[in-house]
Amino acid sequence: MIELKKVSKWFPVGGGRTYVLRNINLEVKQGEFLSIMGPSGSGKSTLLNVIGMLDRFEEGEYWFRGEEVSKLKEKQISALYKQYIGFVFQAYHLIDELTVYENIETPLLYKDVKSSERKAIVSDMLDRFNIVGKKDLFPTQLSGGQQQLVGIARALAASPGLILADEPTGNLNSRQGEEIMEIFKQLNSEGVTIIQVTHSEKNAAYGNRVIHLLDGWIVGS
Amino acid sequence: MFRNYLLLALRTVYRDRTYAAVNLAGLALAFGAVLLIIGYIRYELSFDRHFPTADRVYQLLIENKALEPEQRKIQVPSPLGRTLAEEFPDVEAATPLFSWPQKVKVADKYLTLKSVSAGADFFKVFDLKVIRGNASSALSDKQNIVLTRNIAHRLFPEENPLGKTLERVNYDGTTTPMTVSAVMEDLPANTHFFAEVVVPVRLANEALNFEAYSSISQYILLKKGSNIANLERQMSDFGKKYGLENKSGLVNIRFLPLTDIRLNSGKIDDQRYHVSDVRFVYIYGVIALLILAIASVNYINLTTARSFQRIREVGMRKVLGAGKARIVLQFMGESFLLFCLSLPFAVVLAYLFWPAFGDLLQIAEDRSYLFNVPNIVALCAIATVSAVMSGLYPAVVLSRMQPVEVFRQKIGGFRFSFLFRKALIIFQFCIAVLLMNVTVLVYKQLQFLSNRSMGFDESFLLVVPDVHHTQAAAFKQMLLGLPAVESVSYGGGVSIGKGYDGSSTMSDPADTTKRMSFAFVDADFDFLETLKIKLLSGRYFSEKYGSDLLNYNGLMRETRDRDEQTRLMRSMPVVVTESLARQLNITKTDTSLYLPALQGTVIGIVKDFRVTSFKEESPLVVLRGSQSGSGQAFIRIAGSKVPATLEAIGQVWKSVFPNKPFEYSFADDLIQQIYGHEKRLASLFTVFAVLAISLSVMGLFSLLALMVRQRTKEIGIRKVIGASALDISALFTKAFVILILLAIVIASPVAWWGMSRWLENYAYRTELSGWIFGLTAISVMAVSLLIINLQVMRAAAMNPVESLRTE
Repeated sequence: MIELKKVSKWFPVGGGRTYVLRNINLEVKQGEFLSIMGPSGSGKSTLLNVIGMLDRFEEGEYWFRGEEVSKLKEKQISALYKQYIGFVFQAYHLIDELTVYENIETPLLYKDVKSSERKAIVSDMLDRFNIVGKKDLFPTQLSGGQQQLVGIARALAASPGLILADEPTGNLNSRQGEEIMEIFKQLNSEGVTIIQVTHSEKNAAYGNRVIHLLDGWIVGS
Repeated sequence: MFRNYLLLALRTVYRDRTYAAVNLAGLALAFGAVLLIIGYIRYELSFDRHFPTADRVYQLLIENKALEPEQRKIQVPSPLGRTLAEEFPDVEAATPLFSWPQKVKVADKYLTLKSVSAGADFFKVFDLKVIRGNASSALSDKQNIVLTRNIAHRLFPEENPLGKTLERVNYDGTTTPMTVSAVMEDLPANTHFFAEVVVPVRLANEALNFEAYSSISQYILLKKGSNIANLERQMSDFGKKYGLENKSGLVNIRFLPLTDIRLNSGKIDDQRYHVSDVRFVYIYGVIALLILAIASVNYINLTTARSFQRIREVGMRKVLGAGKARIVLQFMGESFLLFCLSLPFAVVLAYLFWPAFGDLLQIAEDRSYLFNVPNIVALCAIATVSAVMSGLYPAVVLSRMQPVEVFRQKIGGFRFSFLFRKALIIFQFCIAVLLMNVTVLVYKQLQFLSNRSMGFDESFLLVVPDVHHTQAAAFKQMLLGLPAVESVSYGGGVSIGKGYDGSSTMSDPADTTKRMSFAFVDADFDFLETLKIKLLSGRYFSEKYGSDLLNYNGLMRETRDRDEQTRLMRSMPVVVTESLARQLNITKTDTSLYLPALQGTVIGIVKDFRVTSFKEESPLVVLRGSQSGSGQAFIRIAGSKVPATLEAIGQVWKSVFPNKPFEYSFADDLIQQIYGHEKRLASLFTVFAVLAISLSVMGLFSLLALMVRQRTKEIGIRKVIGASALDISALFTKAFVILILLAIVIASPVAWWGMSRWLENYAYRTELSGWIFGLTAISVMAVSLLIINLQVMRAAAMNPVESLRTE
């Protein structure tokens, strides 16, 4: 499904270059649960951003479901976000002016899902994550764990085939973290491909494959 | 989707209440001004269009391009219209039209009505609806009078007014019975002439002669399907035939379309009519748009400054699959919402201010004129366009932002162009400075005009109109018996502040390309003394000279002998002003004149005086002796105990004329009224300038609040490093001071240029002094500095520990 061939990313600094990713070769198959690990600054978030098509790269090829990403237009990428990719962020990135319900509903609006269907999907998500009682609250009225649940619910609302999670438990306590990881495991068993960036060995263990990054190189898997 | 955006927009507005309020207030004020100006423009454009014949009626003009500045006169020889109608089949009908106040007597009560004297074809040319009576014969008899519905109702309530009689009060105080022949619909206020009654004009049935004394405006009705250009082509031959002096082809008969009279008549030397200038429509329209532009700039600046709060949201939405177009639409929608929200407030403001505004611009229409479908549609259209224009820039910039830049937690690559924002601030202050300069200059010119000496003493001079009565002489004698009355004079042909009843023109003998025009004042023996006009040489009329006592017009009418008539005309004593004497090169008195437009023997030369404004050159004034012993009374009273004096004069009046109300004006008041237009202009520009400067300052104030909020951390760090409050203040102040200085540098020359063009309209004008521009510059700068420092000082005084902790 995802294939990176000799992907490198660098910034020009002075006369030379500072590499963030070096010669990355990576294949992710449908249904995998991959964890990317590494110390701060090793390039793991950048790799996830490249996989999520949020960031460019300077060298190499990236194939996503048989298409070469560097040739995709912005519109096509937007369409992929709508149809296929769900993002979960460490900082949740909920829209403060929208309620829990409306936050979850937003991707469905972009997908032009009909009103009745939207209602059903959002209710389903609220049920599933046990946040029905919170649906009319605004993000700032929730705890971090609850906000991340909303973030995941939002990512799942459009029923994506791929979830990209950037340290999803980074701002949560360990009990909340475990809860999120259980949800990911459950989703993975339902067939959703998951790629997560994490610091924690314990979280990485929820996945079925781990790669380690150091200074932009893949140093082990 | 729409609901989602709407909710979001409303919540955003609510969360940033202060900024939304600043934007809303600004937009509401601006749109309020726009709606008022729309009402004004539609009113101006509606003039005379209510006549069904509007597209076929033309006013006759004589245009003289040989004069500097070129002259357009609507006072044309009285037989011109009639002759055109007789000679050209294209002309269906013609009518003279002359507006003047007519005194009438109904059931022992006197009242003055706005009257129009017109020809028998008046109702053909101006297709007014006649409610009672017959339009075609309504003005056929010289003793007919046509009333408007309103006047008919006032004079003859609950009665059929047809056939009723009212008395016309003549100049000599006698009355003539007039029979109501018809009742017509009231004339709408947006008509260039006024009429409460229409009476038949009394014109001698003489042959057309362009050199003749002429004082009446005329209109023609073109046949359906005829072309005015066709008629215009034949005018030069027509003029030649009737002796229109036109050596270089620069003097021509012109046809001014009825619908152009209000706005496009150019400079016509007649103030009786309801005319304006299309330039005011443009100027006010542009100013309304400029004020709207200031409010829109506030919106753009505040939105861009605030957008850092929205960046994360935009990033997230993009990741959720929103395309650029959707983001643009969302933010455009928000601006649209805010603009829409401001409209009801704008409408309320316009509603509240329409009467005051109508007063300033002399719009005689109530609010129903303001609130009609076309006006509201126009307002909504302008609001939509400005919402799109102001919303587009922030929306497009926000939509271009890449999500990864947001999620990296640093907003490096994303910036609104500061240059653009600066340019907008400069633009805003340019408008404010411009309007302030214009306002100050309009006031300065007003001061200049109204402080100039008219050549006579206008203070404590009472003017009592129309004392045309056999008792006039007795009234004068009784007045002179009052200790507070210094002198009394009767004079005619002149009304202070308004002008002269008629003038005659001829080519200047010294330079035949120029025309000279003379105005005649009929004055009695006390005129000079009463008005305190200085005699420079020769003598004034006096009863000691037999030649001053003759009734020359009467004698001329009695004799048939041409030579005798010429002799009489030559010997009629006249007193002229010094500039007339200078132009005709009269150096000594007792010079006998026999010129096309002026005949008589100059017995004295007086210092120049005028009764019209200093906006234009005055005609050359000629005083003729009048022994009628009646007319308009000028009463010179003592400068103390004025109310008691007025009371005493009123008592005398009552004893002499028990049936007539005592009407009077002070000459200085009449003169001040001349500058009513300038006064209104000054008030209007004050409103515009205050609006512009307050909106600009309001924008600056909230923009700074946002900037300070965004840079709180920076301020904290700087303070920790050792910056003083003054250093912090300088950090913000410097940038804005430069922008405002730039605005002043750009706007001042524009104001200078514009105002010197405006002043060219005035024959007498104030100086464009540099200090005005300096003064406005300093005051704009002072206000801005105050506003900037109000905001910055608060931030500078903050304890850095707190500002650093909040981050």
